[in-house]
Amino acid sequence: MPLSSDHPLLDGRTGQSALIRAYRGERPDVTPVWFMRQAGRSLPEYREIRVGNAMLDACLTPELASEITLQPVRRHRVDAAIFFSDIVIPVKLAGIDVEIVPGRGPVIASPIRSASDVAALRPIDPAALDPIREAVAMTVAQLGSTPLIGFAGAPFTLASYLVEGGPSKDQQRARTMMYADPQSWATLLNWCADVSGEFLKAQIEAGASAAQLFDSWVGSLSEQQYVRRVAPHSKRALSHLRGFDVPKVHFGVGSGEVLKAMHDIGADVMGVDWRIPLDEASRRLGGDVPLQGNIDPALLGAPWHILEAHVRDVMDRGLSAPSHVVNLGHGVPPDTDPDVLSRIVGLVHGD
Amino acid sequence: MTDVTVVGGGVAGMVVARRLAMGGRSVTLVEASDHLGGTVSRHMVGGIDLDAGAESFATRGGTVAALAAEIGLGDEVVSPSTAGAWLQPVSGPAVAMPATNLLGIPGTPLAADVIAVIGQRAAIRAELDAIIPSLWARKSLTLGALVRRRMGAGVLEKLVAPIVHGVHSLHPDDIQLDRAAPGLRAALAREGSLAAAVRFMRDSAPAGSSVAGIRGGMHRLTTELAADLETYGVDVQLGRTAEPGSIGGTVVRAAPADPTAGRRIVLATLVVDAPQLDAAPRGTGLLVAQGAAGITARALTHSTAKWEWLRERAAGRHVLRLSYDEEPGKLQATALQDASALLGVRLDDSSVVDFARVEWLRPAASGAAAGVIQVGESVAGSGLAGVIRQAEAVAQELLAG
Repeated sequence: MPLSSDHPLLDGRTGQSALIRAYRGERPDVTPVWFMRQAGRSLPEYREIRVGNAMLDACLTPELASEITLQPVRRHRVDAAIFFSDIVIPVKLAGIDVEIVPGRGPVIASPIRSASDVAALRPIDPAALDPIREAVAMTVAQLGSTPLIGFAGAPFTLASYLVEGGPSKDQQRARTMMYADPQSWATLLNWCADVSGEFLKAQIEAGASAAQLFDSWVGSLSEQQYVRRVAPHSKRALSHLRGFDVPKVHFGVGSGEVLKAMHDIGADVMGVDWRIPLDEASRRLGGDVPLQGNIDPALLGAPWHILEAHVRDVMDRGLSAPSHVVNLGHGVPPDTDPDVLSRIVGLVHGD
Repeated sequence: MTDVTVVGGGVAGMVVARRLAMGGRSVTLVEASDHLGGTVSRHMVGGIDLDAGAESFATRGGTVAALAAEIGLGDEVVSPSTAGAWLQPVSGPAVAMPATNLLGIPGTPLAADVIAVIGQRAAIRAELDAIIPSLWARKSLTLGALVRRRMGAGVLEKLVAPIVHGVHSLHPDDIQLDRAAPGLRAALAREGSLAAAVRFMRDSAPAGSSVAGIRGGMHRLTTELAADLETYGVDVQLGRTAEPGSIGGTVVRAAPADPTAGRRIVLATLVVDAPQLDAAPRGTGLLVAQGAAGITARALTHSTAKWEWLRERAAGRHVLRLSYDEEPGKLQATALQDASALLGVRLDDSSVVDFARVEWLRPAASGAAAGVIQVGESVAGSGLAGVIRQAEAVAQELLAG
């Protein structure tokens, strides 16, 4: 099923935006820039609006999710909005008891550890995603020509949360299950792929102009593990967007070993973390893949002249790819001074 | 809507379904029993996970090893112990298998290890092979006819018959020469004698063992293939038969057309506490000549002597597996008696930790009916290497078509 004719990508609003053109491999006059986790915790206006609202409740209240998504676009004049949500939102909407514990992250009440836990998982009801569609529609109505990027967690990262019961250092339980019970592992990852895939699809249908699949913890895998036990499921997640001509971005932390394999799941654009320079990433990808990244978030707290030199270096190295969207190499740290982000946008835009 | 329905969830069916699904086809697999894998399956005996069916594979062509590598078991392919197999002749004590032989046909008929098995008279008769004109018996249809005419009945019945029976479960008179030993007929013409042909073929075989296993058991193939079916989205339906009209798309038959036709084989597995077996008195096991006095089993595998990983896992105990063409009345007692006689070690009930009986039906060779796409043992013959190669070829054809 194609996108509807009043979708922002088709009705003239975002199709020729700098972000979409760069995602499609063109070089617009001005290099586009946005920041992973730009919406949320680093902004005072966000902290104000969140008072009295639990994190996941905010994600599921369309007015709040939409407003939080728009805040950084107004403040920083970035070239894209990223939908404010959390990777566990679709899991919650599929019936899993999960909460975000401040200072810790998502905590699953009953971790999925046995074959029977996996067998008990039920597919997500498409109607459960209505609050997401509503929030996206409200957001794109106000974004005008700025594209909204849809967002979802990749199956491995999502499954790791479910198996571990929350954030973990090296996803050991999850990786054990991968070998001890490969069939249940495959079933679980397919479930995660379908849940994330539907979540992404709902955002695209409601008006998002691009999609980004995050595999935050892919860095704990060997290339062989990734290719055999994970990549087919990530591919399955993206397959939910079949028929939609939207750019698909894939990003993982610590992805140097598997960058090429991650691209091979069907991504159009690769997000690169701060560990490898963009020219090296481009070389590993064969030189014909648009890149996104990869300012080291640690430098956001450094004196401006150091950060400025780093951003210029990132942009220089980005020239080795067919096109480049400036971003961080990971999410915005919570203690970041928002003015620094605005200043980076000015630098990238050449203001 | 399903593109392909695979009927039968043994290794052949799983291999076809997996390859088609990876190639983007939508695949349904129906299996009548409640589990996948067919004869490549697992059972627990004495607390040890063991192969209930196939326990090794032929390395020829690299077919099985290539699949193992693809499904993440590449580092788990292991060679059996070099201790070698033994033979239980019709009479007398068990003897080590002659070092140079092809399906039991000796490369040096007068070698001491050959004389030990067939006796001096029979060995001298076999040596005549060297002076009989090379044209003699070249047109023999069966393996049995060729060996009898060139080397005599001694070699045939005492050496070749037990080994051929162990591999193909047939007497050499009932198996075509070119199927049992491809290339042997041409080598005979070129080398001038059967013994020289055997030596030539052994010399030109690749180094290393002709069989291999998987650390942890062959059943790991089934586990990994089942996971792949899940990963690549094959719709697996267990406990379901394929009634005509209830299945869609192109149909691949991966089960024999007649599930009751074939040969029954009974496997008796003994886990025993018997330190006398630590020395592996009969190497990796024995093949039994037909008519061997007082023995009912056709073969015995000393699994813990054959596989290093299993020896470690068994923690001092021993695993023995005996195969029977005809099941004796008291299987456990007979297996214990046979094992004692074959291994030359006294084993009694007190040494038995656990016992298991498994029955398999080896489907008769049938060939595929017209218009039916068939994979599996009934068309590819026995052995995983042939079954997997044929299944992969069928999948490639379907993907190309």
